[in-house]
Amino acid sequence: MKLTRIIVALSAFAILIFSSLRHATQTNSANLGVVKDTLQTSRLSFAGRVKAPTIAGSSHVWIYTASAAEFYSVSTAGLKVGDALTIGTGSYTIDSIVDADEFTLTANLSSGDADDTDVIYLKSKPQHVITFTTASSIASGFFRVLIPAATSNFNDVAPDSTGFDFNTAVSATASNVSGYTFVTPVATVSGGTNCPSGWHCFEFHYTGTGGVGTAVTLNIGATDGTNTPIAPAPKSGHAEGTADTYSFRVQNFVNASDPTGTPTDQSTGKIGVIESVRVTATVDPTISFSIAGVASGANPCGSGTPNQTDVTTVTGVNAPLAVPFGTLTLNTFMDAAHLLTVSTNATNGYIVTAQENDQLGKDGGTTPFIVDADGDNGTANETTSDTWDTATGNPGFGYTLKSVAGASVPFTTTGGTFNVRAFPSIADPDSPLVQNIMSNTTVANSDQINVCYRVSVAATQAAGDYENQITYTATASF
Amino acid sequence: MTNLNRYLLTIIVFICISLILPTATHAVGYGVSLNPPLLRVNIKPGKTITQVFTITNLNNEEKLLVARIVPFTQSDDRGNPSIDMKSSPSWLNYFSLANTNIRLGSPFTVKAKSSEQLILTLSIPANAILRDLYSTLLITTYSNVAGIVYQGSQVSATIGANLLVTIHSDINPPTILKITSVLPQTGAFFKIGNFYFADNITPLTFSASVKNEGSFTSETKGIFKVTGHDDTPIYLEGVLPVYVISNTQRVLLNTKGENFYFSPNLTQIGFFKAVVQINSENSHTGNSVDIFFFPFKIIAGVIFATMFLAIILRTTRTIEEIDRPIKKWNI
Repeated sequence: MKLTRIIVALSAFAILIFSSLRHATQTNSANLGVVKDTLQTSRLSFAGRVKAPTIAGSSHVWIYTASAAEFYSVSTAGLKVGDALTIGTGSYTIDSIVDADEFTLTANLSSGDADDTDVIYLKSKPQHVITFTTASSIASGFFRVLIPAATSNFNDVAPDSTGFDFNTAVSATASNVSGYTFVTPVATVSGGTNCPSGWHCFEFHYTGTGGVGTAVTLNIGATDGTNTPIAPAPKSGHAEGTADTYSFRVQNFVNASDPTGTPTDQSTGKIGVIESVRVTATVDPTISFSIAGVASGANPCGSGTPNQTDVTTVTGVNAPLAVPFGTLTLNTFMDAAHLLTVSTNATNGYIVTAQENDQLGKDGGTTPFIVDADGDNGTANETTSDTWDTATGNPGFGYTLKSVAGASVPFTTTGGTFNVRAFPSIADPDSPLVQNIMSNTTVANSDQINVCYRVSVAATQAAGDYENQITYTATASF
Repeated sequence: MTNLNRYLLTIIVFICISLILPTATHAVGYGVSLNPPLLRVNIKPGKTITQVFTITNLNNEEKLLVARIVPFTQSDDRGNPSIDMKSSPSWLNYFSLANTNIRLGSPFTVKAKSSEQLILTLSIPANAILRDLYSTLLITTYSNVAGIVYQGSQVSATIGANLLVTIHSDINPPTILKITSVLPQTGAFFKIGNFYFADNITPLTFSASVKNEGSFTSETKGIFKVTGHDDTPIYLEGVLPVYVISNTQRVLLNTKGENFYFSPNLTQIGFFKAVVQINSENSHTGNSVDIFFFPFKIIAGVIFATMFLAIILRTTRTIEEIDRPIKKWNI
């Protein structure tokens, strides 16, 4: 009985073994561990087209905003200043991005590169760094990496919308690790010997015992873009800001096996390529205006002792917004000055105007008053200047200008000659309302001028305190 | 000499030098910045908008300022308004400040090295006339020292932001821009009738101006180009976008803020056109000037050189004839 039981048990075991051998399951190759293809940059290439009114001899480029087969870059979103482009057959560098369909170059377009629908390529050539861990210990075998190739024109040195362009020749390297001593890798274009269509193939043969769980790093292409596959341009129907994804494969074969056959180990990964993000920052437009006093004894406008400032506008009541001439000596000039500074990043520049409320009136009244200066020859007024170097017989109050930095002034003092004008007066109906004293037609960084005031009175001038108000107005041009 | 004497002597020399050589030192005076310096608004009747203007006091002491809005109707050809301080149209009431403690026309304080925001509200009545309103927001210094007797001038400093407002139901109301002139400015050229004749190895600059004959502000987006016989462009420059307010004229410049520039070459001989085209949202206009390019300078040089050579040859021949020995005949 006991024997029978043993026989039955052995028979059942034998049937089980036989059954398992009879219905043996197909074994799959193992997966390589943690497979990554780290691109040096995940930036898409650019494939656009030149559009009218782009012309040769100009650095301004318009692009088509409608796509065509193989040209799905329809905005400047994927471009940035400094990018090297191929336009037509020439090489150019982007100088500025104007808007969504315009950019400028650092050099003018050559004849033949500015025709309608001429190609515009930015060739993004990122190095591929493939990393993984081995699953099996395969002695003296080889790894094969498959990079997705374009379906057509995959080796014409131009970006393609369906995959990587082989770029004529590709270099590859691998770092030796324990159990894996690599020989020079072999790169094969899509459809080449032992390389299936739709993939560019890179074989990394090695000697050594191999190993399990060994970290391996394989490089395809170079960091400077030489002998490196060209990354895809946007796919058909590409949405800006959304990555186009592609698959890649890493395989491990035994020694001398047919690479078109089944690898021992294999893994598939994903590559994502997307437009570069153009970082922009907005600087708010602004205008700033300042007035500073000038010390006495300086020569802010004319040269020589007669043009030296006699009073300071640095200190005193309301300084620097005052011109305190103080007590005047008859038939003698009294000089003072201010420094005006304007900065603006407004594109069209700025203007500073001046006006007075009235002539210098006694105690701020309208009469008697110190007349507005008309110069030595009596020809100066609000818009015309005249020399004013003689005080006796030429009483009045006026000003001259000197550009210190950047600004344009309508008139100026030269050398020791004081060229005078009168301030436009609000009270005088025959006077212009304001007069330009300082301007620039573009952005200005601390433009500066000196405004130099001069006064002289005759013996007939009634005694008293004379004053008026001068207004400087700085506005940005529109 | 003791150390003390040396020390005193040094101080005396330093004081003397300081007194003898006064320098043009500038005090930290008035300094204000304003942002933004320009506001362009298209607004429908019955609507309200708000814009914040930031005033920054750049001084180390607090400043008392006054904000007000002053209209203007004219500007020069560079986009600088002719502000009319005396004018006070009723539409100034459309503007107000939403600040709780700042009012238009009333002084307010801005602390040292800090900013204050002016919340400007523009409310257009539903029955407002469709038109443009031009004004400037002026921020002026305010003197709180009363009764100072000067023998001189009190200076008031003002900084302004221009406000260009269009009241219309359309975002781009119709306007009429006309390019009044496109003319060679510098270079080697002369004019016969309507045609300019220019040397083709000398660069030319062109001036151009545009007039807005419409009732609404327009912007000058466009191109300057030089075209050949078959209207094919051989040179292209962008036009600097600027605002042209109604019934004013503006100088047109290239995107660098300069006159338009074209440098022909020797192969360019014959009739060409310098064209300015404006293609804004609400205006399309153009104007051109005909130019005949010819190598005048080179031809003149060749003629001069030929004449010079001819003179030399003729002079040499004459000298040879004079120097030739006279043949004597013995009869």
